[in-house]
Amino acid sequence: MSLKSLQTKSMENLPAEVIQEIFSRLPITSLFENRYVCQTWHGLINDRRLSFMHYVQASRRINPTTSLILYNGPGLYYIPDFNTCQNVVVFNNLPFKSWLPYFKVVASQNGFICVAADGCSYRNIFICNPVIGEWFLVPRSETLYGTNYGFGYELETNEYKIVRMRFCKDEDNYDVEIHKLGTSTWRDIGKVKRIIGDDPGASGVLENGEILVEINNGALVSYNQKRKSYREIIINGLPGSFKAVPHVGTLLPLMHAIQTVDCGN
Amino acid sequence: MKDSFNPSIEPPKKTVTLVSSDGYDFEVEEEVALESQVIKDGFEDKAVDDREYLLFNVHSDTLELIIKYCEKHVSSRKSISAAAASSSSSNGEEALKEWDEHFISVDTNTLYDILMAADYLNIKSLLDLAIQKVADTIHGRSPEQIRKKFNIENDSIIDPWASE
Repeated sequence: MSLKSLQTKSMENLPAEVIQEIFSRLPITSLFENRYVCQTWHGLINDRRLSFMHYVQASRRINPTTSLILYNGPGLYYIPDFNTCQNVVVFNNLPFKSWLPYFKVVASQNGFICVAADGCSYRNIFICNPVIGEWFLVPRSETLYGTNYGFGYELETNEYKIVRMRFCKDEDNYDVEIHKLGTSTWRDIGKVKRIIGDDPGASGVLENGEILVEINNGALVSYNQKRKSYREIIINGLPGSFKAVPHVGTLLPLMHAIQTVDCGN
Repeated sequence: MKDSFNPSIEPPKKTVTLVSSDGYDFEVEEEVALESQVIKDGFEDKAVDDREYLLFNVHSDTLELIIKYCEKHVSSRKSISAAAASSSSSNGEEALKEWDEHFISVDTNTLYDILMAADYLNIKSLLDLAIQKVADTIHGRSPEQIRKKFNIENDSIIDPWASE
């Protein structure tokens, strides 16, 4: 005990759980920058337990807000809080741009977006965290390259998974494959029946049940299924002639990109 | 039964004694001490006349602050729930938040002491408050500024930012 009291009052000497609790409340960009403050911090930031704590904190923080990710061919934009529609974030230096000059956001999860080339068969898809500029190519599936994607995070196992489906006209159902991020293969999980419309551009549903349609002339167009009516919401900060496809998703949290970077080093 | 319940007569306050690492005694009301989960956990097992706690890790300067915090929170909780019961409007929670904000605006060394004590005594709301304060301090600062602010030695082998 006496030895402990002799130690200097440095934040480095706090118990590990306390330091990680502090880290879990910091935005991802701040953590990314501060990995190299000291070795203790570096170790604690790369600890897998922190990614879980960070996820819990971040979902607590952002829960009541709906965020929108917008893309219009070559550009990516982000509206952190749809309720106020202020502070549009523009991503100018997307790391995958040389590969995919025109892209679609096909899915998003926890700050990662899943992007694919616009206008072709989505043979190449990328996972990217646009906030810190990390990205990687998802291994190709030789058997299947279409067209509907889902991207999910399993809290219990701390795993990310991509599901993709391709509609088979002859059989009137979907072939489905699943890929666990970090592995090299896709796994066939059989066929599912066609349930509803299969527009691959369908991009999200707001909390009140309205379906997002598009961004047109700087306004978000949504469709209310019950009333069968369209609604326009002006978004401040977008160019007047701006056209884009919206996607409900958030870019806020994410520790995993940091871990990916470190594996690469 | 009904007659025996009379909220206007309060039972005599029970107290416990907290002893700081440098040997000072602090006599506090039981409910104030029970804000600490650690004290609460062992409370029932202790004899009523032996409610003294030796806090080896908490210096008297820090303990004084901790007690101040707990007293404020116990009394605020009472007035907030009293206001809610009489359905009168109250800005108690807002005021408490402001008080907290003021309370935790301390220098780095004191903040460190509060963090250590709140962790040791397991006072969740205080720990939360102090943790958020440190997080706010880190946010927006460069690694070098953080090292300086928090008295952290630069022992990093790889620091890609330093060479830029």
